[in-house]
Amino acid sequence: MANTTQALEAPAAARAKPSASLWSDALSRLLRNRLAIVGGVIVLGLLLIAIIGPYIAPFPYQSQDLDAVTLTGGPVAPFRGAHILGTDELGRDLLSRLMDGAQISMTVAMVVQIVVLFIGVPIGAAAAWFGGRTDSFLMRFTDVIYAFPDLLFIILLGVAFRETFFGQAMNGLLLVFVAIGIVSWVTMARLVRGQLLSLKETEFVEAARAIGVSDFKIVTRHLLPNAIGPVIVAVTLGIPSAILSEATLAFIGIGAQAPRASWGSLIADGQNYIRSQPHLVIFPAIAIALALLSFTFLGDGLRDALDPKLKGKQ
Amino acid sequence: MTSVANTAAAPARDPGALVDVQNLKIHFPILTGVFQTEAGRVRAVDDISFEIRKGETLGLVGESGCGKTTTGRALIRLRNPTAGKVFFDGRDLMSLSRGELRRMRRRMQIIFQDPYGSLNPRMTVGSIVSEPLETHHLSSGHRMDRVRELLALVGLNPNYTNRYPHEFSGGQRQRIGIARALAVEPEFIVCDEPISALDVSIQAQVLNLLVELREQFGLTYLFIAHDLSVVRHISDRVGVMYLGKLVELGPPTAIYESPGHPYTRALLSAVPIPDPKAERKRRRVILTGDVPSPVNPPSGCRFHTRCWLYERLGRPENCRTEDPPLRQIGDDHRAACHYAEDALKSDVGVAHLEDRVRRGTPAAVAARHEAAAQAAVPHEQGAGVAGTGE
Ligand SMILES: Nc1ncnc2c1ncn2[C@@H]1O[C@H](COP(=O)(O)OP(=O)(O)OP(=O)(O)O)[C@@H](O)[C@H]1O
Ligand code: SF4
Ligand SMILES: [Mg+2]
Repeated sequence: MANTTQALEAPAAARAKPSASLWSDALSRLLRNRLAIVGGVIVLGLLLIAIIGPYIAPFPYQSQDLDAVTLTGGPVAPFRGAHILGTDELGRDLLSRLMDGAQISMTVAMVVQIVVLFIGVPIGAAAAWFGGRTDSFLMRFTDVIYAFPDLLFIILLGVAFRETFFGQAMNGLLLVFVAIGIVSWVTMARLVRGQLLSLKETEFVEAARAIGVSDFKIVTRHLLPNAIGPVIVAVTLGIPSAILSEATLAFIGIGAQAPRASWGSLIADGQNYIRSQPHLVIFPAIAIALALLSFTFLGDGLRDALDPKLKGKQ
Repeated sequence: MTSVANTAAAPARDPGALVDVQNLKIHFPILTGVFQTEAGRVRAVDDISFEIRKGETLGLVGESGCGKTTTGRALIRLRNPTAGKVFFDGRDLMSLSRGELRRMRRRMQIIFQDPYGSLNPRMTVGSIVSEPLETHHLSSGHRMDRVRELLALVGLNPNYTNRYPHEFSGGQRQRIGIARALAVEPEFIVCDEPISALDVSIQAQVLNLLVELREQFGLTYLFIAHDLSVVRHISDRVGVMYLGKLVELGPPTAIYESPGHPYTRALLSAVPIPDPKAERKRRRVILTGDVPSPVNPPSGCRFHTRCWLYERLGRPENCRTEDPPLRQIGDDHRAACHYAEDALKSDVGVAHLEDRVRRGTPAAVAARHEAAAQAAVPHEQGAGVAGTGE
């Protein structure tokens, strides 16, 4: 054996670099991406506002400053007096309502992603793991859902159930979660299926089978940990589209019930004053755009950081 | 071919065989349409029979896509045969229960081609090498010691257990894969092109390591390669595959000096000979045309669409109609060609050296087996010898 040990290749790992898992590698790649950091910071800020917004808001979102409204004879303009972003025609502070709206919009986005994970991951995983007929049945089913125009489906579902108990439950939000979730899981199912299918063919999975590792451990130790990166990216990038879908629904009056308002319903309410008091539309629109951009930046950064093509090759 | 019926039932025709492959077929169905109906099948491996003797290294060569990997994986039951049987130490691998198969997995292992794809990027080297130990409840008390021992055995720094595969070079990763395969103390290892993906400068090191391990532990190898030159010096016998068929099998002297299959001769034509005298004496043919698809292989002899001997003999009909069986054409030498005798006499690919006596390789192999059996010390002992250097 002496030759072998002498013939040792210069160890690549001998570079003075602490041993790092792929996760910490990915994190350091992410931290090198400016846009992703900006996105991440704004995302954290939005989440923070969504959680503690009601406590730090200048006014309760539903309280009406009738004096101010009477004085101006309509919505109060921004950047004057106590209402920094002005008020609506009922004298409700816009900033406070935006902060409350953040809670609704973020909740919808998150819950929808959870729905997507709970439907999409098992369906995709089952299709990939069992293959054959199960696979083709599940995939044809997802094709059907996919072929249906998303927004039309969401709106139809919303309109059909708006007046029912289901439509009213959870302040109208349950319907929104379900409607958006139902159209959104398809992409996740396809992603997970594709990931697992290609992982199933990898040599390290063959090696595990050759060793005699149980199916359960192959799935949990070899397949899922390697599929989790793309899933995280998909969830992050799915949030902006859920926010947008929610705003669209809210705009046509489906979802959060007054006096609460999501960003979408704020725009819907403000459109009557779009000429005289455009701030009622502009500020919620900015909030939506900010959320969309920041999640997209973060998602793109995560994708680059977790890029499977970089995986294992540096 | 008449003996097929008998041999299929009887395990181990060759008493020295560790692995006995009988009429193995592996077909992959091509499924199409909504109802996943079978539109055809890839005949990746189509009725091959051979044996691997204890302590032997069998080289297996052939062009890309001829079914080498599929064969190798079937031998350790990573693929289920469409038909035919694989016996390991006399036991039909398909007849084993789950538990028996699990226990059998300790005896047979595999080393892969791709040093990147063969290691889970999310696991540390320590957990990769200890996974087989954990699975088979080996060295439970001092598992990490054993991992370090295995790393040293393959020439890696034993302190690298907490590192991840991506921190290593291709050759080092290949060594990690070898350590993982050795962890269960196997008798038989399928080496599926273990050096083809490595830098040329590193190939020899990994090859030497595999040879040293073979001598140290008396391992039996199926060594897959895509060209004849790699396996020449490490194989006791060499098999040549073409389009799902084993077309020739014999000791290196036979395969490299007097091959009996026109395909083997065509492959050898592409390998330069260092001896200029021999080089002048031989004739070379160039394989023309593409390899036919394994979905629709040519009738009769699969090689007839590219066979120079077929052309030279005036396109005999039986080449197109009859599938030539793998038959004995010399001492421990088999070929699947109706006109193997004509091929043997030809000077294509090799210089035909009539005066050269075929060396008695079976005896030479037997002698080496004996040495290997004596050298087959337990792993624990062997480990201390190696891997102290940095
Ligand atoms: N899982 C599979 N499904 C369908 N076809 C397959 C599968 N695995 C292999 N094949 C096909 O079977 C044939 C033999 O493949 P195999 O990988 O055994 O060849 P090989 O000799 O190892 O080739 P290479 O030198 O490229 O590694 C090829 O045509 C391949 O496309
Ligand atoms: S059987 Fe005929 S076609 Fe096939 S290799 Fe021999 S000579 Fe060529
Ligand atoms: Mg192969």
